[in-house]
Amino acid sequence: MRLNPLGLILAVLLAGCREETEGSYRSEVGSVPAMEQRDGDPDAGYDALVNEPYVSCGIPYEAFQRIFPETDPADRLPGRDGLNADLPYAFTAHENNDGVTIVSSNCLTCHATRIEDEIVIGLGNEFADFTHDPRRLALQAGTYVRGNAETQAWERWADRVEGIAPYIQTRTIGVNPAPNLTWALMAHRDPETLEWSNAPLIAPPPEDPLPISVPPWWNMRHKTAMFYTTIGRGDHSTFMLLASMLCVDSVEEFRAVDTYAGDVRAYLASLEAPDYPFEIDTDLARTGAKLYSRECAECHGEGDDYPNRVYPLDEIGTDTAYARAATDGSRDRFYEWIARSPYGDEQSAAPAPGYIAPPLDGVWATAPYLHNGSVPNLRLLLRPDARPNYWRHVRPRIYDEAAVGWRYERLQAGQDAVDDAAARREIYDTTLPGYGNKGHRFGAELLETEVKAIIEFLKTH
Amino acid sequence: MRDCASSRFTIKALIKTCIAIMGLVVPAAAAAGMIDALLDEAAEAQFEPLTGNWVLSLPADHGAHPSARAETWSLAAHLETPGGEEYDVSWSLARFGIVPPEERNGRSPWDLVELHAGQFLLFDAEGGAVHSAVRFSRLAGTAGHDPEKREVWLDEWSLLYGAAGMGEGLSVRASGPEALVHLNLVPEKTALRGNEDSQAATRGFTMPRLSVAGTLQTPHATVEVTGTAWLDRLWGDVPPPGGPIAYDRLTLHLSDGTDISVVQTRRAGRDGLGTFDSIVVGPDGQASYLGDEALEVEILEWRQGQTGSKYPVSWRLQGKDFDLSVIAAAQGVRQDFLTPVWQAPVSVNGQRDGKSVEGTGMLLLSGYEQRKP
Ligand code: HEC
Ligand code: HEC
Repeated sequence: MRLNPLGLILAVLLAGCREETEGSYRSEVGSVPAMEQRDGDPDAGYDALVNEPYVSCGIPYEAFQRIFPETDPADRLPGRDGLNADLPYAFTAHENNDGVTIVSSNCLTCHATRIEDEIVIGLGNEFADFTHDPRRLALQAGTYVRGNAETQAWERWADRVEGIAPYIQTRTIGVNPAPNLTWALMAHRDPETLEWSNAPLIAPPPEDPLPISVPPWWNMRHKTAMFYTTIGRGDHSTFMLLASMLCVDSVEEFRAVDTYAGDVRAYLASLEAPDYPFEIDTDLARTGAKLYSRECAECHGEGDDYPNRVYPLDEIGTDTAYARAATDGSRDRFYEWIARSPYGDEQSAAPAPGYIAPPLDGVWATAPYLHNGSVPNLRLLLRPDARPNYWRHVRPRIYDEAAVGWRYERLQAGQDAVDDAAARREIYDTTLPGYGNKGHRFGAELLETEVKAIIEFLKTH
Repeated sequence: MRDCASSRFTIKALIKTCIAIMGLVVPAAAAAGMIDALLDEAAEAQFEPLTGNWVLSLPADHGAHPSARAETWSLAAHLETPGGEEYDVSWSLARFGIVPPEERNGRSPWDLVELHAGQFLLFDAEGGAVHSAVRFSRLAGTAGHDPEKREVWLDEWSLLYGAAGMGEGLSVRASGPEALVHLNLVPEKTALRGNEDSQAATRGFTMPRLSVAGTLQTPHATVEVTGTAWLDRLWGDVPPPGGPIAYDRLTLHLSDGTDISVVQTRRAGRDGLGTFDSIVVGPDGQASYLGDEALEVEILEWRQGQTGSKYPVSWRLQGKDFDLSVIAAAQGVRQDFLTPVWQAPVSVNGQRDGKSVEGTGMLLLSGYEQRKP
């Protein structure tokens, strides 16, 4: 059909309108275009990541020592300066403007995991406990804080913790509240000056955070957008600094951190997945490689060929809550915040209504699976009808080589059935909103031998 | 002695209790005008933190632990005379080490090696008027602890333990200007302690219910008293007083035999509720720890003190199997020193396991004086 000139004008106008309203802060499902990224030096990026005070508020060092008196030698990382050399990897020390040494959590709190005596940088921490009121730690640390400058430093941090506390308490140990944390911080900050306000300036997010499994950093070498909904478009290096905004209170402070953001991104993009540490049946893996090419590669890619595609919710069928919340308009005020802030522009925050099929490099290490960590192991990911509705990790954790994941225990009932709070927070209850384990049924029709072969192949991936 | 699942939490709540009590005792001693410099000295003292596993050993642990930097004894007793008059006693002792025991050899007896402080409060039958006394000593005979005699003393106040027939009980003698109490205390429930393999640098135990028998002597008469008490003991690495955190402590004895401790940890001078650590000890002595999510707290009434500060004097506590209303006695005591602490006996009533209960207890509040407008 040919459009008449009037129709053409109308179409343009309408398109224009859509750009203005619902079209902004959104992407289509499907292919995610590559955007130009800042150059950076990976070595300088590692140095910044483990030494720089990008999270500039925290616990005065003396109080910190009372709570964490000793560092397990296996928690130390190479390449750290000064006090950092002796701190556990997830903490960074620096001296603030008043001469007080402060210890803060760094990115590795969520983005590194210690397995046995090895710290795997980039592997999401799937055992972190965000089920408690974080004010507890702040108050516990405050017990040991003395002196005016120290008290002021502590208060600055404690104010932030108080501001975000209601929004970052998950129902289950292991899942992560980071996105809600970020929105909560935005609610308390002026986007242009970055000044903190104890009272929220825009409506905060809902209190119950949606549960998220932390993706491995080594995927960043392949990815053209960050995060499950590909909300992180544009320049990744500045956008990822949103994860360090707890105490960045001025544009000047932002700029100081942004000077090394390109290096940090370059470091993340240089990371490679760790090798599978146990034995692999190479014949079986070879069979699996063929099956993988047939059944999975179209979405997840093969070798360096990674398609970067988002799949719509009705096709993928996994829990919809996270992608829906990102695209139903209920978070748009935060995307607008980003656009007005130095962290991004109109193009930065643009989620698609679906989930990206992630690269599967080192997927053996990233259990539990799916964006909400609802499926304990690879076998169950490929055997959707066998997934447990209620489960918990076996402690201390034991790696299950056959199923590929951390050993779990199937339970008969969900969180409602358990009175004891400590026992309750260990239960992954897939009937809770956002915790669903349905969908991704791509293995359902495969034979048991085929599933085994694909799993064996994924160990080599 | 119990190894219930909650015991590892007990110590946390206890530490907080201790701090609350230090908050009470230390400012009181500050009135004597000496404490600041001495406490600085105590803070500088080279006490090694307690290390290694520890085993609760009673009655010996009623006595002092000289290698610990600091130590507290605190007792809240709820008493009744044969004529039905009610009294409440709060008695706290604190010991701060200045010179570690291994360095005391060859020092003159007048050298300052330890600091003892104490406070006695007697709330009378109306729960209002109060007899209070503060004691303070730098050892040298006027205060101390004698492991052989099994006694801890501060002036004429004393705590005796471990004598024949006393079991894990103790005997306390304390006084104010116009009142002297002599109480024999017998634990009715096993002491709750930290985990046995706890490496904690702060240690202690709590006796949630002791039965009390003794005498109360006033200028007018000497009367027999009986009742119920709560004892908290702590020693080790205790934070110095002051700082940005404030604590509230509530202990309750219910008529069905249940005892409850609630510690609220807050930012000093701020509105709003803090975090809660509670212990519920059933009539059988079975203890369970309640975190924030297991206890709902509502402040039912704020009362304005003479200097304008407002105190939360009535609380509603709701848990899975209890719903209690707590109200403080008409007047409380406030120590108006460095860290003001407000204290009053309370009465409680409500439901526990579906049955009506009532009871007594003690409420201790700190950090409300600095409330920002
Ligand atoms: C509180 C936990 C937490 C902290 C701290 C944290 N992150 Fe993350 N990070 C997450 C979670 C959860 C996700 C996944 C969110 C999503 O995809 O929607 C994520 C995703 C990412 C991604 C995208 C990965 C991908 O595959 O899309 C990058 C890059 C990243 N984080 C960088 C950082 C950096 C740099 C820091 C420190 C400045 C940091 N993060 C601190 C939890 C955290
Ligand atoms: C139509 C596209 C598509 C196909 C075909 C597909 N997947 Fe996926 N896969 C996805 C998407 C999209 C996700 C993310 C879903 C989510 O997180 O909710 C995903 C997630 C996964 C994950 C979880 C990764 C993690 O770290 O949580 C694994 C593992 C996986 N797929 C393996 C496979 C295997 C093996 C096959 C072949 C048998 C396969 N997939 C087939 C789209 C696909």
